[in-house]
Amino acid sequence: MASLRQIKTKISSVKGTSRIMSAMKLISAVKLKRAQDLLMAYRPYSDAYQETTLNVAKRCDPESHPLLRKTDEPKKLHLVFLTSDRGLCGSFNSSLIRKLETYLVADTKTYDEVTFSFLGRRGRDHFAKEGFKASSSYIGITERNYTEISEKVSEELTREFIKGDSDEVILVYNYFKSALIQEITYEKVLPIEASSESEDENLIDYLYEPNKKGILSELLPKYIQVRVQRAIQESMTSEHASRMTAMENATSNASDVIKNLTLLYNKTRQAMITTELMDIVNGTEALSKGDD
Amino acid sequence: MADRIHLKVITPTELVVDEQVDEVVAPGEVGEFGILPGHVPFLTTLHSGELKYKIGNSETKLVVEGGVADVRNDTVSILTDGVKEN
Repeated sequence: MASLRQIKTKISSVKGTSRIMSAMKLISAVKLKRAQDLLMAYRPYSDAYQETTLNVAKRCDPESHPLLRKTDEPKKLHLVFLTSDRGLCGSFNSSLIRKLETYLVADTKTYDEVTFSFLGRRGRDHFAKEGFKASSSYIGITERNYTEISEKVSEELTREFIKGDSDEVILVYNYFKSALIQEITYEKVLPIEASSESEDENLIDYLYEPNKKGILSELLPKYIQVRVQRAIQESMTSEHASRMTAMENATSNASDVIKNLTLLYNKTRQAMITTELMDIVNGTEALSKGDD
Repeated sequence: MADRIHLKVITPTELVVDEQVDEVVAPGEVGEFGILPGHVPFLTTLHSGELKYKIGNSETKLVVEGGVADVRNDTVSILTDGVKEN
């Protein structure tokens, strides 16, 4: 049985850890609040942007802009993979990585070539170990710089797509459903194509001002940027939510551990007292027997 | 045909206007344009400038910083980078 001192040290170390974890939980809660506010404000904008763009794409001939180009048999796939930079956020990164690995094995057979962009250290490091080469990677994405980063990423994606180095671009990230639920999401952003479910035959084309070409070349690249930025924000908000939940679980786990250790400590102490008492009683008995 | 237009003014950080209005005047790329109910689908980029809309007799003015205007089915969506209220 462990000595009293050992148990005591263990209790205080667990207490220390649990203090750190509950502090991290509080920090994540604050960060989550801020990221969530930004995300909720951005969602209507990006949704509206998407609606407008897809509406335009539905009415336009795919020939009218390179970003609308459709390939019958896409051969080159570009995956943009969003993870976090830091760990301690539960299964946020690991489940995303696992899902992507299964996807790579199962669903990418039809492609000749798969390239990657990594946003976030965790995904990059994992796939670097596996020997995947990234065409680009970004780390250190925060609330302050995600607009610039999304601009850079989308510019690269657009350039590559126009050059013909990729036929399809898919974003993989955690979609923020609520503080408790995050959903792994695959989103095809390029080529830009409207869902064909609502087949309105009498679509009237827009009047474009100043002209169709000018508008498309302004609208479409910006649309890619909006989608990338939205994905970054979703992923960042999910990360904070996931970390908050993980830290909350860890804190309550730690208090269970402390409870058990304290119980063990008290039991050991009681056992020691009992043994000591027995020693004394036995000693006195032996002495008094000797007196008789 | 609806007798009013649904106007939405949205920026990356906020939903500024979401209302039924009677008339919208916006600063288009090639000049100011007005939208009344029943307008044909219309898409244009915007200049920085004044966006006006009327509800009954009261007129409201906003300053938009560029962006896109999407007019479709009596809905006007103004997607702009920023808005300053006058």
